[in-house]
Amino acid sequence: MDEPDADTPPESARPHKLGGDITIFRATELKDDLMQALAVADQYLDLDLADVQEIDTAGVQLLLSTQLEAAVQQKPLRCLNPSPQLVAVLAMLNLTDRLLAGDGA
Amino acid sequence: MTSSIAPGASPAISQQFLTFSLASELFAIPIEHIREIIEFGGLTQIPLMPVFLRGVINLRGAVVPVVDLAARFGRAATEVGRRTCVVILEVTQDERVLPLGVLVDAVNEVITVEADQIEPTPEFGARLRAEFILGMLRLSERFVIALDIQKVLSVEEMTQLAVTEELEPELAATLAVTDQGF
Amino acid sequence: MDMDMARDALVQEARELLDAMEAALLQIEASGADSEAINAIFRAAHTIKGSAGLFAFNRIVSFTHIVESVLDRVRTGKLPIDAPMLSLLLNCGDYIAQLVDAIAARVEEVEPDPARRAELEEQLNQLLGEPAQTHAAPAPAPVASAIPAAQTSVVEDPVNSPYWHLSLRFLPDVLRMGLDPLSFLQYLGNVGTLLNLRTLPEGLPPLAQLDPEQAYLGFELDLQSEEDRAAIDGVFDFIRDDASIVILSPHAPMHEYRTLLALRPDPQMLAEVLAQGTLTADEAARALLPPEETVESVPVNAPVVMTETAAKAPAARQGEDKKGGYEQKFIKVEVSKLDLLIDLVGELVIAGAGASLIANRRKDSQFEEAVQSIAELVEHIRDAALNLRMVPIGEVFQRFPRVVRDISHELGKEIDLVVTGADTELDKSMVERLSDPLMHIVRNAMDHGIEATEARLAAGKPAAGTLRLNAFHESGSIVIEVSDDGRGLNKARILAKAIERGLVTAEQSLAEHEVFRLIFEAGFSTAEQVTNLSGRGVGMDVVKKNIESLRGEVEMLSTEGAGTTVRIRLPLTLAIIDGFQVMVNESIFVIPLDLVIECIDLAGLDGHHDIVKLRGEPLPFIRLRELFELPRLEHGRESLVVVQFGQQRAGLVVDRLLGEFQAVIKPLGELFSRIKSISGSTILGDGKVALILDVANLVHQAVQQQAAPQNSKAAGSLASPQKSNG
Repeated sequence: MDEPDADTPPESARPHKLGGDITIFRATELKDDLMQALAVADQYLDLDLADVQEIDTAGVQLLLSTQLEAAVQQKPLRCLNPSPQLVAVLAMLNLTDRLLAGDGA
Repeated sequence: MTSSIAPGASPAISQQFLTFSLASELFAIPIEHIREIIEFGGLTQIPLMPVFLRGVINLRGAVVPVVDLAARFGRAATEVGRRTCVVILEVTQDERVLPLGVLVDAVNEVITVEADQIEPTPEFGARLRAEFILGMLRLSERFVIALDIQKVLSVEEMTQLAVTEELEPELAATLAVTDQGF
Repeated sequence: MDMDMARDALVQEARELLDAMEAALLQIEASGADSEAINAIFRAAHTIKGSAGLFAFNRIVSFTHIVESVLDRVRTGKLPIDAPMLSLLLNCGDYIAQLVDAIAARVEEVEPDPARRAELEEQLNQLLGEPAQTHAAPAPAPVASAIPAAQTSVVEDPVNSPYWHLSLRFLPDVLRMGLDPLSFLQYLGNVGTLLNLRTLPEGLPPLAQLDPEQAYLGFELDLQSEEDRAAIDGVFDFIRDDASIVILSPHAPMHEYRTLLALRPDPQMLAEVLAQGTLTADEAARALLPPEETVESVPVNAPVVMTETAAKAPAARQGEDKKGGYEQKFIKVEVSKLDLLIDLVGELVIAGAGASLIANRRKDSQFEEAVQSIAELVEHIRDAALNLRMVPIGEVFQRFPRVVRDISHELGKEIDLVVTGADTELDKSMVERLSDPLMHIVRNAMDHGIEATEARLAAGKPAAGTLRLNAFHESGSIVIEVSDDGRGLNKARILAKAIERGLVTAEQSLAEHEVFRLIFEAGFSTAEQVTNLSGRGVGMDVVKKNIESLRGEVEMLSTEGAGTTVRIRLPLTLAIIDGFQVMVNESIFVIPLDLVIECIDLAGLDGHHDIVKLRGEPLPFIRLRELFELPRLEHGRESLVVVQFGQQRAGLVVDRLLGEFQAVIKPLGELFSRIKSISGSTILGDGKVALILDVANLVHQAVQQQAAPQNSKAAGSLASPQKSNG
């Protein structure tokens, strides 16, 4: 196995797909989902967000809270392939740097 | 000449007139000035006014002056009879349209007159100031004087006359009938 | 939106703002700078610019923008508000008014006066180009008004931020209630541009402890918006009860940020957040510190200013009326709607009279009573409706401080203006037509009445002349007086001039008031010089005509060396009055009831009376039948109606008294405008027209006759009578 290259993010389990509407209606279900994903994650919690449609306050809170939890568990969160809708919302809330920076926070 | 219809002018611009009588004479007014015709009644006289300002009436809440046309033309005041009525006209003054009533002995009918039936005002003999006359309507048996109602009912002139009347009644009477510079 | 209506609304609003701006500038000139007035001026310019911007009226936007920039510096103390600044701002206000006029006339693409504009812009830009010097913040002037303490005693500097600042916190359950803070933020984006938004996740727990349906996030943001507070506040209507929404206006005073920090749980953190864009580092630091000023500047009221429910108080600061210290609520109504209402009330009065008449004839007492109560109600409605048309004369007076200031500068005279009775009310329709005549009179007084400073001092008078505008009600009229303490009228000179002009002959002996009245004759002037200002002192005959066209009268009183008063008397209502019907011969006439003092039955007295004495005093009188040249009534009961106009009384002899009724005044029209004794007409219950007597004129005639009976028609033409009524 190669030495991890400083520039390339190390391999991890296949990114966990989070798609559809990330809203209050599924919030409880999504929370469980994310806790699960975190449990099985190796070094990073990678979320594939290409299919995110709608996202509301509850959804944003989930992401932020997941980020906190991931940091606690030493498995930094990485948001990958964010959908345009997600990008727009995070931009409005000035959370781009915080959540979409590339390296886990 | 102050006639405002072009007599004998080109193609059929027919006009409609209301004819009416003052004593035995027949006169006509273009119908576009006429608002309505009402029975004579309920007239309130205004004190110290010349004879031709007969008074005012209540027309559905508006106080409308009534002018005795015969008197306006310098003739004897109209005697009220069975057929006496008031023709309510609209006169323009200072860009406003005001209602004014005229007292007539009797109202005849509305006639349609072709352009070629309208002849210019004769030089003399009409017993009426030239500017009051629009033209002469040639009907089958007779001539009817068409009146220029804006001139006849010139508020400016009548108001002035009302003042003169207060001061010099005879002068006022003369002015009513003749041209000013005559 | 109807473009025309919107444009008219803009013009109206702009004009009101310009009036407020001018008033504030004059106030500063008179009593010194105060932050309230300065803010009012700034807001006026700012609002006009904003509204005009909505319509892309670029000329006014660009000009007002420069004015606003200067005003901003004044507000922050970087520029002083001294005399040249005040004059410049007054002139700029005038030019903005011209630009507004252009908009009203739909020619906003044409610059009204390019040369003037360039001149003003140069002066303004010079002020802006100067290095910013920090002058002391304007000290609050002792302003006697009932503005709540929060506003007058705040001395703090406003913050730099030209944006609104919003601080949003939500109750935990809002998400469960179906409300989404994000959608409110998005909606806010419709009202302005979101800037410096900070999402505050401080309350957020790690995922394991997260309640997914609970709200944890707070937001701090700036908003760039031309809307007013109400519009911004309105965004949060549906969430207001479940959130803490704090909205701070652009350039809000420091103490508001201080209070915000105190309100939120972690001031330190919040101050850091604010320092990232909303406030400067310095401002953020200061906001954390306790205020240096006394308690007065952070009154208990202040949080009310900023909490979610009370958006009202800030709105009140936007230059509302400060009449007598209590709030008056106003509503704008189109004049045409008001006129329609008055017309309908008039019809109601007439119809009611008709019903009363029928009730009387039927002799049905129940019916009569019913109609009577209707009549009383109609009278109340009538009074209330007419009252709607009454406006305080202050509306007319309000342009005069500026006028007096400008003219006194031009003339090089010191003249103070004292205004009293500004809340005396008169009919709205008179207000416009009174403006010009009053202007003439004031100019005359300033130009010819008040002497130059040296002359005044030589005469032992104070250097500054006083011009007084006064108004009050008196027996059914409104009296308006323009007084000066100037040189007064010189009777001899006036008389000489009048003789020279052929207005009177040398042999006539005239009482003082008659001499003064000559001034109102056309073509008369006693001005030694022609001045630009008031022409040749003429206009007084025009003034008299204007006043008379309002059915009023004007007279001059004067004491030579001491001053002159021009007194105008106008009737209070033009539309509906209480009338008293009388009969003269067979005709019915109406006398305005509030001018009737009493009625005396003459029937029991014998003979023909020339002289009437009322309680020992001779009373001038007119026999109306004779005045109107109407025949004598066979079985009349002659009565004497004593009327009063102003200070004079007279008697009108009529043939019968009929009774009171409400008269809807119908104008007679120009044809009858020259009749002196009749002032209008009205319609009786039976539909006939009755004439309204012009009491003022009749009283004059009666008085004149008493003085010179041989000239009159109506003062007794029979030979014998020396009998007098004791």
